[in-house]
Amino acid sequence: MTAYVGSTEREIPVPKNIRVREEDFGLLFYNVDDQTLTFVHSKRLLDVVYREGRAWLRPGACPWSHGLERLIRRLAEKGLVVFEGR
Amino acid sequence: MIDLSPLRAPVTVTWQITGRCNLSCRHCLSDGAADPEEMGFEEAKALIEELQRHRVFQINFGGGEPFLREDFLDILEYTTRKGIVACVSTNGTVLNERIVKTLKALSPLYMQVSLDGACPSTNDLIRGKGSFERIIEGLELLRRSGFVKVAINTVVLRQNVDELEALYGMARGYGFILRCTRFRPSGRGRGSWSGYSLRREELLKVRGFLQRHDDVRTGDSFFPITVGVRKGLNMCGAARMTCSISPSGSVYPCPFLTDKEFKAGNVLTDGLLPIWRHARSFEMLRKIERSPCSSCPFFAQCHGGCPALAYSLLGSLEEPDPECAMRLMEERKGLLWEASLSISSPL
Repeated sequence: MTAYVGSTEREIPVPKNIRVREEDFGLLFYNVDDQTLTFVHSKRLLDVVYREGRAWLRPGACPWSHGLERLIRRLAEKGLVVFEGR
Repeated sequence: MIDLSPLRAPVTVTWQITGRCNLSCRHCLSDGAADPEEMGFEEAKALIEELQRHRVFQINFGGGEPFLREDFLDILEYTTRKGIVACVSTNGTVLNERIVKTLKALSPLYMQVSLDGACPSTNDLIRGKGSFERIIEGLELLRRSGFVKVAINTVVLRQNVDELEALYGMARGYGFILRCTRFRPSGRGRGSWSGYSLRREELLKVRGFLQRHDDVRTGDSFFPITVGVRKGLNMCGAARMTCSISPSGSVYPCPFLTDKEFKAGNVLTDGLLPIWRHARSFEMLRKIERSPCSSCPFFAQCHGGCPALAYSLLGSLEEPDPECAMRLMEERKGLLWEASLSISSPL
């Protein structure tokens, strides 16, 4: 499953083996496979929505921007979201 | 002063699901007594739902021996169905084909099987006569069933410190990992501390062992012992990342701080989040000042170590971890210096 920059909803799926929740500093990820935590100090750049038993990220306080896309690409490199860009 | 904003909810919760146990291990953090007010199944389900609502990622089930609860498999099934990772700490002696078959169908599930020696004489001295053989049967059963997320969990003691390499080899032989746990004078462990705890040279041996084997897990606060040689956790997670729940729902910052003054409330009556955010004992843990450590160059890597150990042995949460490797090495240097002085004094 892939989310695209140009998609209408602009929601980015989180892989099934990753749990995520919002914290005051941003997002806290947990990898089910190796029990590692990742703290992402993103403040309100991304919100988490839960649907169909899994999590999705979507732009939070700010609209979509290159900075936000860079952040999402970094998260994708770490396997925390599924994102291939435009 | 360490004053980090707490997370909105714990990341993991350690749940002593029962006080009952069929063994009587020397070091046990609990005393093996049944809790007459142990939560029932419906209460347990309600708690799991609450943990799910707060996005707690993982529940560490312990005890006592969790599998002595008749409804434990149902509790586990409910936990994993809610998407929460379950991690079960068992003594392995009550595992059988039926239990393992049910466990195999659950995911995500991690198993930790306690083994405190690489041979029967060492293990049985600590965990009771005949336990080694039964634990091995449990491990074999898990291996044959294709379990991979299994850790052999060893509480490192004076009696087994020289068997760590052998235990590491055993774990690898099964395709499992070795996980080391620190001994702390809590529960039954209070009475056995003087005879079982590690002395300076043994603590430094453990440091060397953990330095050599990066793949050995140290689920809890070994970081004051491995400071400078191992990366990872760098401060106590009690009241910051995790908390502990007793069989009857009492909440504590950690399983090793269960004196009356640390009781933060009861999940069944107070709810987890109000406890997590406002309990006095949690606030206390979050604001500990380890001033004697603040000038240590390694302070950022351990933040003073395990408060529970400092509290148990020195009477204060704010004292430095009594097993801090840096202090132990300094002491050893001091002894060597004294020895050289005594040799040179005739001159």
